[in-house]
Parts: sequence; C-alpha cells; structure tokens
Amino acid sequence: MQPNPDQRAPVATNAWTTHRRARVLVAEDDEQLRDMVAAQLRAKGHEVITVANGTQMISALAHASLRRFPRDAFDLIVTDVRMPGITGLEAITRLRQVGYWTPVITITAFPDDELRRSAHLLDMMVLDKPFKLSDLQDASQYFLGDLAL
Amino acid sequence: MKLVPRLTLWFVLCITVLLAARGVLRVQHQSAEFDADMRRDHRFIGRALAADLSETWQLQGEAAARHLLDVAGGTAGKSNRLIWLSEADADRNGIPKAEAHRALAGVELQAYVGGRLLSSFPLHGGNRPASLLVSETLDERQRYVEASIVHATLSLAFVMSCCGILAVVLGRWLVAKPVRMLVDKARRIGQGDFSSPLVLARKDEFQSLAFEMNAMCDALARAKDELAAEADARQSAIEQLRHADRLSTVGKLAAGVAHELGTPLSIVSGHAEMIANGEVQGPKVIESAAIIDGETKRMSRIIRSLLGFARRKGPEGEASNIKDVVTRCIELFEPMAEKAGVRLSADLPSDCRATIDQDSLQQVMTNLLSNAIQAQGSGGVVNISAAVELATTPKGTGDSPSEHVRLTVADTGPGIAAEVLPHIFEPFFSTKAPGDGTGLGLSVVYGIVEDHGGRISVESTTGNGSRFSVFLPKANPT
Repeated sequence: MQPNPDQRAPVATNAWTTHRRARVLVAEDDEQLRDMVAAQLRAKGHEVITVANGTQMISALAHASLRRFPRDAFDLIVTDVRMPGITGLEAITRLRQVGYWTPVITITAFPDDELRRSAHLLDMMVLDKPFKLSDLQDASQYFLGDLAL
Repeated sequence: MKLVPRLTLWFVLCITVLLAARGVLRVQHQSAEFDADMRRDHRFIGRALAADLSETWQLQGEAAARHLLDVAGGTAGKSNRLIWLSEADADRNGIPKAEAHRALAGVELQAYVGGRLLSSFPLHGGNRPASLLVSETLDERQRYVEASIVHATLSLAFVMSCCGILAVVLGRWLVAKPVRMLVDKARRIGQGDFSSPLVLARKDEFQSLAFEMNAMCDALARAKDELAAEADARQSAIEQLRHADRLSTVGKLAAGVAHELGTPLSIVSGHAEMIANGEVQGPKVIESAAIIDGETKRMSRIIRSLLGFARRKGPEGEASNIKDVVTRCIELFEPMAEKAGVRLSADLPSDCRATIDQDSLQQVMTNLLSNAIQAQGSGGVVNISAAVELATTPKGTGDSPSEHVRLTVADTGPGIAAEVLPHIFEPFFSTKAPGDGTGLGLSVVYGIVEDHGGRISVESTTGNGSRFSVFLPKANPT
C-alpha cells in the first residue's frame, strides 16, 4: 500500500515553534560512516540520535511519536537504504503509512529506477554513495535551514 | 531375382507352353489329314484301276489284266505297290491271313499292316476270286510329321528368343530404368539431399510415384528448413537468456560492489574533506588518517575477495592430503572457536587425497569453518568429516558417478531459512551484520570447488543446523 499524500497528518512538531535545536535521526549500519555523518551534523549544531539498523530506527521513531511532546519529534531523518533486518526503505514506508511526513535524506550505493520511484512516492531526497560531506551539508541545510542555532 | 529377368522368364515360359501346345495339336491335326488324304487317294486309284482290271480280265483274260497291272504298278512310284491278290499267292505277299481272306471274300477294306497302308478292291472278271491290293509305306507320313515337329520347334525357339529379347529390352526401358531412378532418388532423400526433383518423361504409375516423391521431398525440405529456423530461433533465444542472465549477474555484482565500496569511499572522502577544510586539527587529523587507512584496507579486501570470486583458473592437478590441510585449518580456528564457546570435532581418514591445491582447500575450509562457528553459537559442536563416496560431477549430469572425497562441515546452529537457501552461493549475499561478512565467502568457495571439478551442496532446515558438503575428485594415493 502506498501512502496517500492527501491524508498527510500535520508534522507532529516543528522545531521553529519550540525554539530548540533540530533533532536528526541517523540510521546507518556502518559504524565509521555513521560516526562521521553524526559528527558532521553535530558540528552544525544539531541534536543527533544514531541507530545501526531498521529495527532500531523504527523503535526510535515510535518512541519519539509516542511521547507526543513536540521537543521529542525528529526534524530530519538520514538513513541508509540497505541495512540488515528491516531496510531503511521499509522503515520509512511504515512511517509514511502512519502519516508522518518528516523530511528524509536517504543514502544509497545503488540508486536504480525502482529506488528513485520509491523515493518519489515516499517524498525522500536521495544521496548517492560515495557522497561528499558538502552534499550532506547542503541537503540538511535545505531541510533544516537556520534551525542549527 | 530381379524384377525384369523374373518378368521375362514368366513371359517366355507362358508363351512357350502356349506355342508348344499349339504345335502338338497342329502336328496331330496334320498327321490325321495326311492319313485321310492317303486313304482317299487309295480309294480313288484303287476303284478306278479295279474297274479297269476287271473289264480287261473279262474281255482279254487274266494275263492281259496282270500285264496291265504291272504297267500301272511301274508308274506308281517307289513307295506304292500294286498287287494282284489271288488265293494262290495270298501267303506270299506278307499279308495277314484274316485280311487276305476278307479281301478275297469281296470286301473293300483298308488297314495299317507292318508300317504300310493296305487297301483291297475286289476284282470280278473270272471265276476265281481276286483282289487288287494297293500298298503304301508310311515313311512319307513319318517324314512329314518329323518335319512338322522340327518346324514347330524351330519357330518356337525363334519366337521364344524374340519374346525374351523384347521382354528384357522393354522391361529395362519400362520398369528397370524408372525403378532405378526412383531408388536413386529415395537414397538421395535418405541422405538428406532434397534438391533436383525427379523428372520421368512418361505417363504411367512411375510418373505419379515420382510426382508424389517430389512432393514429399518438397514437404521434407520445407520441414527441414522450418526445423532449422526453429532451432536457430531457440538457440538465439537461449543465447539471449544467457546474456540476460549474465547481465543480471553483472548487475547484481555491480550493486554489490557499489554497496560494499560506496560506504568506505564516502568515509574516506568525508575525512579527507574534513582534513582539507581544516575542520579537524591536531590529534584528530591522525585519527582521521587512521580511519582513512582502515577504510582503504577494507576496500582492498573487498576487491581481493571479488577477484577471488572472478578467478577462473583450472585445477592444477595437485593433490592434497585432506587430513593435513583440514587439521591445520582447524588449529587456526581453535582460538576463535574457544572464544565463541564452540567445540570443533574432526573425523578424518589418515590417507585421503583430493585433487585440489592446498591454498584453495584452505580457503574453502576457512570460509566454511568461520561460517559454522558463527552460526553455531555457544556450547555447540561443529563436526568436520571426510569420506570417499561415489558422486556425479557438477556439469555432466549424464556421467556415471565417480569416486569423490566428500568433506562435510556440519553445525547445529539455527540453520538457513528455505527462502535464503537458493541464494547463499550468490556473490554479495549475506545475512550477517555488516562488517561481519562481505557476502563473498560462500561464492568464493563455490567458485573454487567448481574450478576443481567438484561440487558443493548444502542441507539445512531451520532449527536443525546446516551441513555443507564439498565433493572433490579423489586423487590416487601416492
């Protein structure tokens, strides 16, 4: 089942209204890459939560939405597509199905047509591996704007 | 026997029988006619002469009559005799008594006696009974019959030879020639030559046969062409499928390579960028450099494994002692197994050799053992065993089984799920957490075993562990 954009629930929280730093969820199975991305985003002044696979990602997302407090909601999700267990794509699909349209940057090493189609339907930005750090910065800047500080 | 000689023989035989029958009847008929003719002549001559003699006897006396008979007898020819028969000389002329008696009694008779035809005619002139005897030999009749037989035989022989020659010539022309052409044509068809249709310039059954044969030939040629076209199409379809399969393999490989190399490349490029931008300084730079170094090594490792998979070198014909190599591998893995709480149990025959070089065998065992130890979990036992078995080679399924060394690595871990099982030998297929495996190990093993003319199989059910069996051609013990 594909999510219907017309049934979009309002983004649960918005960092602009809560006057806080942006919260970013980074899901990546490779530790080195995860650390590097996280460090980069932290250097920009964002609050970064890291997970290593799809299952952890889903529990982190569920946790954030259950709390119902605006300050716990994520403002951006950066995820790898291919991960052991539940893949990034599956996790995002589930998130979209329950009506959360949090901005997503997806990192993939093999961006084929099918992935591009899914990315379009799921409203995700695709970042091809290998990527430059500046690309990531540009992408996060696009979604988070001045939220850094 | 060939058709034409047989036909000729029968033809000639029938004609011979008919002509021979006709000849026999003809000879019989002619001989009967000859007889009748002779009798008629006797009667004609005899009656006329008897009347003449009777008159002379009556008027001029017996001596004049006898004289007249002698004169007449002189003109009768050699084969005919005219005899004056009286009671006095009845015995002299060699005439049987009964006939002589009847003749003298005044009866006109005709009879065959001693190869002659005798006819008697009574004479009435004196007071003594007398008869005129006309006697003719049958030699002429015999000659006539013989000549008839000879003539019939000769004409029969002539007709027979004419018929024989005619039958042979016509048989050759009408039967043997078209049959030979048809046989040649049939033989050509049998050899797969469908060209040059058979043309018989005649209007008979052979022509219809040739016509049908040509039609059959055309149909066969068409069918052959269609078959060839179909085979070509199938071949090209298979080629396309193979190509597609290769492309899909290449695609999978490319996806795997992209995924495996994409991550370390991103890390390397990221750290390099940070150093270049001056975002990291002091000891952090050294840390970044170490990370770059580690990622580079990781990429080299991936590429080496990939090359190992792509490697297609033939078996070197070197034989390895299974026990030596496997025991060495087990020793290498003892620390790892101990750490994981797994016991390694080996059951290996002492003198068992397989045609595989030691490095390759070591690589196979390393992969299988590390998989087994990882799958086993704490407290289990991994069993390694070897045995000689009859097995078929991987490629020739029709081959008869030959002696193989079966090397088995069995664990009692969670097993492999049925949906995963068909993919485990594919490159970059892994169920392990990233970093634990590249997804190349089993595909490398597969490649090595295939290279050495062996086969790898796996039996696994979820919850009951997995058993990998490697079949390698057995080498003769030295």
